[in-house]
Amino acid sequence: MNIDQFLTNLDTFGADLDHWSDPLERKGARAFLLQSLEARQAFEAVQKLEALFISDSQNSHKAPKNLLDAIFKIPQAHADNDTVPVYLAANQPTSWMAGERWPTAIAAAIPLVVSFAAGVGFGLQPLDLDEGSTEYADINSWVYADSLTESTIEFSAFFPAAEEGLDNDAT
Amino acid sequence: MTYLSDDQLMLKVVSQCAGSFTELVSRHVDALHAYAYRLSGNPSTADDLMQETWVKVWTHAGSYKVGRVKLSTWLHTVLHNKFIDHVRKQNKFSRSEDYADLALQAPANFEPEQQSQQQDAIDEFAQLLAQVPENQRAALLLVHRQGFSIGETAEILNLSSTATQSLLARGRKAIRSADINTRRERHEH
Repeated sequence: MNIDQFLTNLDTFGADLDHWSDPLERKGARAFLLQSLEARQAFEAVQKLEALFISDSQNSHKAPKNLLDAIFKIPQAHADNDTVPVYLAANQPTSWMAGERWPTAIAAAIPLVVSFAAGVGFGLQPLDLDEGSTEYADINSWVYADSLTESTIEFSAFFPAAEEGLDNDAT
Repeated sequence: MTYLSDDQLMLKVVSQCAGSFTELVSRHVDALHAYAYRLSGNPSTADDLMQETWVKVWTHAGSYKVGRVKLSTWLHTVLHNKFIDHVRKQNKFSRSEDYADLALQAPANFEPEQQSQQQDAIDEFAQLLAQVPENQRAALLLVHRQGFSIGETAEILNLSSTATQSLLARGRKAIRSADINTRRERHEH
């Protein structure tokens, strides 16, 4: 074992050699500690650190009393929040129906009602087209993606030269 | 009165039982506060973290899954996340200036002379802790002070076990180097 290996293991597993993963390395470390001053110094530093942590954990740390009091009030504080009513302003109506929005709603509805009544009164109907005379497209001009023949005919009708080029490529 | 386990108390806290909450606080508050104080190095920050942690416990008790981790692990996880939020807000994730305020005390049951020696060691301990970045400090505290296993520490820090081991190794190395440097300086003087 060299100093680098020893320090790597010391930093990874700590100063308790029994916690080192490899039994051979444990044995090697014990032997190395006897011969290397640097290893001993590093080992003592980590050992001291661990002892300080243990000593600190044995010191009975107490949370401050005022903090405890504040924490104990958390359920009460949050229960109060849950049940807090939504306070309304003094002049705010308890229902929108009792408020001042009625005139606005009626004013918006009047044009709709008048337009509907006018439509019914003039007897307007939806456009009634003859069956089969669609104005949107001529079905005969459609090119079907799954019909190579029709596609080719359409293509060659407009670009005869390109059609020849396609034949050349195919060969 | 029947003794209820932490998990049983948590189930009652979910149904808003304030008495169970108080009992849980009494059981865990000192250990959590010790961790918060040593991690942040500042008593008022530790108090803030504690309050935020326990508010979260009360309002989100349902997010604790009984049997998945121990309650103390979950509480430390909540606290640690609060600490990370705090550090992000403070925008100082490398070395906390707060740490200069850390004042740990030797156990009162020691003889005066022994207590004085112990206090020197603890002051030194606080200085050593201040030398390492927060994440390494957290890993060292959780394993060596709070007594968590590597797996539990990994859970609290939301890291893999390998990453936690690596964090611990870097922390030990940083403290070891700081300690050796301090000794060398003393020797030279």
